[in-house]
Amino acid sequence: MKKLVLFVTFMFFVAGAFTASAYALTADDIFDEMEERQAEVTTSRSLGSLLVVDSRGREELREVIMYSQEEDDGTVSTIFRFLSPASVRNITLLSLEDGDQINLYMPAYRRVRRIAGAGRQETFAGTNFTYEDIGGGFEREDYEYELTGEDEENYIIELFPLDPESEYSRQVMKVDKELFFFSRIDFYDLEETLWRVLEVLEVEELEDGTVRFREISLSDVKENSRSVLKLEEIEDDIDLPANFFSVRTIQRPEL
Amino acid sequence: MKFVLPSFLVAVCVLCISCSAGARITGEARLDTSWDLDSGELDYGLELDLEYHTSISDRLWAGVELTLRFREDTDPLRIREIYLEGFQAPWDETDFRLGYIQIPWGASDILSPVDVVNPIPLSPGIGEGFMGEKIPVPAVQFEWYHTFDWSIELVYQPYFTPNVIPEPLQKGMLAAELAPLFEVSPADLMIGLDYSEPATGFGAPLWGVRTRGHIGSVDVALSYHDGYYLNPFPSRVEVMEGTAGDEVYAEVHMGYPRRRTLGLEFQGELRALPGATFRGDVALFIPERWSMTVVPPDPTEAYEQEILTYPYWKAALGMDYTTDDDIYLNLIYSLGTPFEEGDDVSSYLFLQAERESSDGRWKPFITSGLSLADGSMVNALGISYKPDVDWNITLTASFSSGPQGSKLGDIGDGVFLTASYVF
Repeated sequence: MKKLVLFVTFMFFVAGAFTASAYALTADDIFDEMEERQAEVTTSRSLGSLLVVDSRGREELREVIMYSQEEDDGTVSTIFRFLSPASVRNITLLSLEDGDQINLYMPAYRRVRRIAGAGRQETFAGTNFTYEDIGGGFEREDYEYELTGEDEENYIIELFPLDPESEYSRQVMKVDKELFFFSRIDFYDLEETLWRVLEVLEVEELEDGTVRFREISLSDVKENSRSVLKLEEIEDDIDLPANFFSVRTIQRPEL
Repeated sequence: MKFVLPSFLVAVCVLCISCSAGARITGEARLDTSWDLDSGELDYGLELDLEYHTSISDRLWAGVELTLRFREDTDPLRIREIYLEGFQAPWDETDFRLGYIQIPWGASDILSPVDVVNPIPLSPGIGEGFMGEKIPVPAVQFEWYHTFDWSIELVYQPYFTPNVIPEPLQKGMLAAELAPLFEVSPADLMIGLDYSEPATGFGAPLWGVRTRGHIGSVDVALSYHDGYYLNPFPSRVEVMEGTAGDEVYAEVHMGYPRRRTLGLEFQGELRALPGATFRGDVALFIPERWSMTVVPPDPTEAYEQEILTYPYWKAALGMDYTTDDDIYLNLIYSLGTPFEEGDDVSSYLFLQAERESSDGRWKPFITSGLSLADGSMVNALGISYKPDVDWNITLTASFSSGPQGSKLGDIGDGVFLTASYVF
């Protein structure tokens, strides 16, 4: 789950300018605390479900299995596979080193396809998640950020992508004041219209005080669709064979 | 096709045992209908794909994939695959598959010239599934991952498996090719056929080797295959007097020339064109020298005609790109098709464009092909609809243009409707 955590907490790696000082904590303080609260896991295996809800409210429930591993250089590699239904069974995504390399295994053709270029922004197998979302790949140098407010339960931070090719003009993130996880991120398009909303629906506080996500929702506000990923069985620090995160592994009939 | 019957029996046994053991069989039911707009003929067929695989151990699996068909002029049952496969077996660094299998080589999305192991049967049009079907071959595939990034794959095929071309179609193609030699119209050329398959066996196999990995941000593979052409070539034509009018009767002996294929595959991103993904295959074919002996009614006038002489290239170089409006574009330059060899190889451009609706239910698409040799074209317009997660309905209208005998003009016009259910 580390990769997913990485995706939804990419702010850990942000190192942009900080200007606000009218609050008890600075944005950097908040990010530092969030990083402290992130569950320390080297490898993990998660079983769960992905609920895809289309614009007409029709629902499709998929079983998923995910493996993730933090590499020596701090990047995260992920394998994400659908277990059901039959139409997507064993479609498998491999993301290496924060999405530096993304491959998709299509069992019907027994082929491994490289996902590159603009294809990274395509949604993955009918979900609201793009290949890049699953793979991560956010860099701290890509954002400026600013603490812009707070309410009773959350700090509010705005993030501005530095990449001129970014699909977003800004992102507004709410960070839970008690457990220091983000509870919601609003993604605005270049016309300043709300486009996507990422919400954390359930978190688990571990004995050591760290937190991890159990259920998240990614909504496409424009298209009125959403995908809800729920993790039910999580095993941490498992033994994985050397080179497990490879093109070879995603071609196996069972993981 | 030496292994078809025993493989079929094994497959049926495995499926029966699976059913009796309550094992889960998955698959797809598919109804195909086609309407030939030139002849007005309506055709339909029903296919049932069944798949079963089971783990023998944590490193070994066995599987069977069958297709049951109800369609005129086709075999009622076809084995898509029957195999035993091992991962990290027999050694940690090796994987293998053996049985009656498909071995897909190539990075390009269609028409890969390096995909030389399995025969590709002729498709009735360019609707859904165009060029997607393959005939399995008896083979052992063994892959050694000697480093994290690179592997070497060995393919051993003890027996030759030719393509399946319906005899009326084969005769029609030969009549069009040979009729000018005898100065008759194709309709007046009666053809008798016989085939000679190459003498292969465990001691004289077809074989191949392929290494794959990545260089920077590009996945690459190099391959070599020593085998035979999968479609037959005429080797001897014996012409006899016809029995009525202007008819000419020709007894045509067909064979399968040996060929060696060197292949290069690549897919990835090039910094020069950000946003686009390149997928390409290039193959150099080195054929055995192959000629056709034409024996007229007077045997003293027999002569030879060269068919395959020199090495030649085939290629499929594609670039796919997704626009800001989520339109997927795939442009492919193809030098040759699976049915063009030697001097017949010519250039084509193919374009695929599609866009899925926001709810993921609808996907209109267009597939176009243009022969750069003679300007003939084929265009397929279609739309896919998913009424439910397991259902898919695709309607395609295909139109070709170009003079008779042109590369793509003879494909004709047709409408195709496919409904499939995955279970």
